[in-house]
Amino acid sequence: MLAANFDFLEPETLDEALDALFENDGAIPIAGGTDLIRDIDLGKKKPTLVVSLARIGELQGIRVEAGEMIIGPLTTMSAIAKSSEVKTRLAALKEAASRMGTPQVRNRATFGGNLCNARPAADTAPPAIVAGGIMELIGKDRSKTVPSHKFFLGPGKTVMRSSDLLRAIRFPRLPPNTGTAFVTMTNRKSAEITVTSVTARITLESLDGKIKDASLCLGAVGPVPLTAPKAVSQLIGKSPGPETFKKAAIAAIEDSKPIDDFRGTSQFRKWLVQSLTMRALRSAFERARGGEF
Amino acid sequence: MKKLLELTVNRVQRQIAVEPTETLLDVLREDLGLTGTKHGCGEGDCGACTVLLDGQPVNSCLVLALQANGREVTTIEGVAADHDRLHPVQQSFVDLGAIQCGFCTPGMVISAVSLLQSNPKPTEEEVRQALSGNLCRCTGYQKIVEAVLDAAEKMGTGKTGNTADKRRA
Repeated sequence: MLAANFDFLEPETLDEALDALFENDGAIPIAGGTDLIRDIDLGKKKPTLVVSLARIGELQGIRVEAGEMIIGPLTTMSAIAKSSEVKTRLAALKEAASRMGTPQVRNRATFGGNLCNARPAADTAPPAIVAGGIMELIGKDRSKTVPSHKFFLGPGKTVMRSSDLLRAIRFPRLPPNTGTAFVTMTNRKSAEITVTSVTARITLESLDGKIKDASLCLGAVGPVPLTAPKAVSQLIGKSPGPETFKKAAIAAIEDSKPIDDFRGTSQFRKWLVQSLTMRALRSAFERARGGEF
Repeated sequence: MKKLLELTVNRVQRQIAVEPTETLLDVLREDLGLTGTKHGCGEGDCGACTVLLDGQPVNSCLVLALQANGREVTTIEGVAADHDRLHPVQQSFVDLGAIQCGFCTPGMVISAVSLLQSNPKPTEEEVRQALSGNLCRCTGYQKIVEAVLDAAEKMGTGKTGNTADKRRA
């Protein structure tokens, strides 16, 4: 029994869920619950009503429409890890989802939950950001879209109101000759939270051409997943290779704002930013040349 | 206020009145008396509470009981096809000494059974990956991994008899 007192609702439609969240001040939505149930038990969150989203069909699954990949927020990490669509369209997201938590946690934890909890170390946020993911939000009286790099405001804080829900995450098709990669350092291989992660996207002018466009996102080295403009400026228009990647990796340190905590010191995280940026760029480049995304 | 929970546990349909604050683990242990599933860390790290929910291993301490409404749960008490025989994974754990204190064993077995359903011939690395959400403080894992590989081999060849008995005979 959790040390809490709340009622529970499991509506079958999005409208019912939005009504329940709008009409009850203490209402909170639950997706997989792998973070939330612990937070409730610890008294960090004190809902009066828990609204389960699990039976709302339109929030589930991965589909492709008009070239866009659309992922429902209730899609589990396991489902993302196994999806052939994700593998062929956004390898970095598959990599992030495949290693988060434990097998048991991945079978419950959802993409939407990972994004909306907005932990600085959330592993699926950087792949969403480098791929230009678009967050579709819906509330009782409004719906809007927000680019994923503008979604996060701080640890645990997003642009969403408490009565809003994430309806879908849309990924426009990446341009040809693009590759992505997610690289993380954890203190153990499993059941561990990222100390630092780097996610890269590289688009080449042609298979043996210069870097036409690039994006980097640094995880767990700031209050939100950080884009790395200084590092990216070292990449665009340059020839891909170890020298270019090294310049970008050194610049990425300046883009990061790590803190000391029990998982690693600020200095250690800066070293990680450099070496993981090298690895992420190399891997994204290899995918771009190999026709993978 | 209690609400009605309807679910299938170990192939038996159940209707139970539960508090919204009860976890699936609470219902299994306290309401249904299925104490094979253990309460370990309570935060999804140790895997002692692992059960199959709609065929997938999950931490039952991190599932609200009412989230399991209408779903199918398999606990350690239900992994074997019938009451008189152990599941091949259980038998291999016994035969190869993969159990010491036993607290992690039900969760380990559930994770292993799930692995062998989706991947009947796993490599050692795949076994270790599949069990990476189950902590054991006694064995050092080696015998557990060996037991899962042993079960995979026996299930593959159809030789799932009680090897300990054969050895005694």
